[in-house]
Amino acid sequence: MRGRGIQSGGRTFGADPTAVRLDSDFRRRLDRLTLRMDAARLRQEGSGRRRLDGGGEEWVDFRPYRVGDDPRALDWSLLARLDRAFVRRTRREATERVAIWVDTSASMGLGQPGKLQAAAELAAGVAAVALREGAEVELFADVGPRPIRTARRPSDLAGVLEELGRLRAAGANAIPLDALRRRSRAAGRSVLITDLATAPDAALFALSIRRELALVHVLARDELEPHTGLVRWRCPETGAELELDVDDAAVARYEALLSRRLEAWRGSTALHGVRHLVHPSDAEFERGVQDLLRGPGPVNPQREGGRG
Amino acid sequence: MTLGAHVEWGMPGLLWIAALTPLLLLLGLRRDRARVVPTGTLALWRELDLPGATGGDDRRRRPRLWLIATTIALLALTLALAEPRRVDPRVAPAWQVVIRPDPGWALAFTEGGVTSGATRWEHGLEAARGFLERHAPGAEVSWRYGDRQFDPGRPAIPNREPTDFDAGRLDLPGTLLVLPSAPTPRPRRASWIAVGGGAVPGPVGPDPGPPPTLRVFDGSGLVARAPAGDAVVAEGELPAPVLGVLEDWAASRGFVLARAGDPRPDVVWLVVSAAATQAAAATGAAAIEVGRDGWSVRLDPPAAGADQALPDPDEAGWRPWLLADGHGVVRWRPGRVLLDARSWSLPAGPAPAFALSFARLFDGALLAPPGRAPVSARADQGVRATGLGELPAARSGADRPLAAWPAALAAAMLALAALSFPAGVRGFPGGARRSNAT
Repeated sequence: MRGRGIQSGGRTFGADPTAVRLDSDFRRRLDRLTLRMDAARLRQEGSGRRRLDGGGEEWVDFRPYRVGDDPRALDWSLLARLDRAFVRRTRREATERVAIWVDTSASMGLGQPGKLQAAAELAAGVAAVALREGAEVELFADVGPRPIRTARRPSDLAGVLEELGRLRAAGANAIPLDALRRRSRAAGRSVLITDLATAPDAALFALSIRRELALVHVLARDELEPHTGLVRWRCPETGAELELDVDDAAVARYEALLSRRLEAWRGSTALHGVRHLVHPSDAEFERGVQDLLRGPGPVNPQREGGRG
Repeated sequence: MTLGAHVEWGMPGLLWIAALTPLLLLLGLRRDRARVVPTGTLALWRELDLPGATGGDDRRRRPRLWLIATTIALLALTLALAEPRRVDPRVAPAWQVVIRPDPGWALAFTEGGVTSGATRWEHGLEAARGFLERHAPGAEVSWRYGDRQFDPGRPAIPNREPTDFDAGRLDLPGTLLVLPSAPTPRPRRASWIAVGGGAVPGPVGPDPGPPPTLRVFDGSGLVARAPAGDAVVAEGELPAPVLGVLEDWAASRGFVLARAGDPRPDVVWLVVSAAATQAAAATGAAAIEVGRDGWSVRLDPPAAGADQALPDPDEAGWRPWLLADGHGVVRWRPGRVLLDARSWSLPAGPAPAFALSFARLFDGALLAPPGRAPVSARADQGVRATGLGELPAARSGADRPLAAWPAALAAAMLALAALSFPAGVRGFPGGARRSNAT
């Protein structure tokens, strides 16, 4: 099934949603994205507006303590001398490490285009931008403790893309939180790309301590705007089915519940300083990468204007 | 047509409409097939707890209410259109078998020039019974010969005299007409059996004489035949003058005169008897003189041994020919002539007058031989044929129409189907996605 389907806007529709296809057209778009992001970064650094918050170790300055700040960031010397609480502000090191974890569970293998395809494109975009900035990229894609690919130079991007192209959506993978915690201990940023099938977990937010964590929810268009009519919903991970005669009222109730669930994610992630993004599988990956790395915060998925 | 023990259908052919119900079910189930959509948000759909949500297989096995209601409505409507009637089981279906009176029933049944040994009547009864076994098993049957009922268990023809038979008036459902030959015109509603049979040669009837002759059907036409070999019988001690005339008359007509003590002939045209008439009793021992046509005779009292004469039968049914004191000295009826057994003198008057007078009596009293049948009955009746008409109509009082019940059920089911039919038109696949994305 791979390679078949209708080409539209550089994306392949109708192809096998459980597979990933990163073709030459995508690579050209990836190159343009990294150039744009690099130019923007240089402009920000040149004007002194570069974001300094982050999980790096390079000290920049101090700022007053605010509720919610990590107590470990407190500067105890200033507190003793001035009797006021300040936190250290650091910047990401030039050699910081970026950990990217892509959910390859079976539930990612659905949608047109597939959610795994969208996740791989986002991962590729993040990896390309990070390598361009000089960071080291570790790519995780299963429950194993080791990354499936480590890249240290921009020239290593081809290997990352090749590894992403091998991904298949199958099984019921869970986020390897412990492995991620160990492996990404030195990483300044971690990006988890998954779907809503994974429930919020307190341990997930432990990852965000002393590092920048972003959580990307990839949803298929059928999950955001379901069909009406007689539909048998099937979970690809468990095989469980639920047949429903879906009418407009049922769709409205579903969408309301989905919105509440996403809103809960937004609130929970915001409370822990985790960047949260909902990315429709038919949305352009460039927008997702920009929002993920430079955007102000969570993105409303219904503003994405998917092409499905 | 009868289906079951107690329900009959007016238009059973419409029951074929019921064959549409499996088609309707198939179409309904086909439409009912759900589109399988993989999703990662199955938990959300479960959390919604929508009514009617089932596992896929469970739902497929459970037909929808509107489909069940529509199917039942179609079946009920079919039953109503087929006009069911409840029939009292105590009243069996009524058939009447009417046999057309015909003088040819007693003739032998021949087929291909071969006589079966049975009469047309017996063949007709057998054919009627076979028809009833095939088309009206267990039916209550009344048998009529013309307008008279008879018992078909008796082999004899009940009445060979013509009786009323109006084929047009008998053209009714549930009526089986048994006829010698195919009817023209054919009945429209009644069933019929033409027994058929080849031509049967034989006597048709006597020609008016004298001399007496017999008209005979020879298989193709009529021929006249003298009664040669047939007989007249002289019973008792006939008066000598009369006996002499009888001998001469029989010889002239070609009859054989059989006397008492001779073997009984097969075909007898006339029996002339002498008996002690009531006239003799009335006149006692006195001699009387009687006569007619210009002749006269004197009758003397009975001689010794006259008590051996035959007893006088009842005068009823006899026609007097020669009277004495109001009693018939000579009387007759077809086939019989009865004379007073007293001693007759020689006739007085012109000699031929006596002989001619008695010859006319004998000629008039001749009885045609048995076995006569008209030419139409003896002619070829053709081959056996059968026509199936309409079945017995509903019997008033015993039947009760049942169409109202399935019709009401159909209306109720249609209403239920309309109420339970899912509102709105949903299309799959393709365009039923809500487009509320902004």
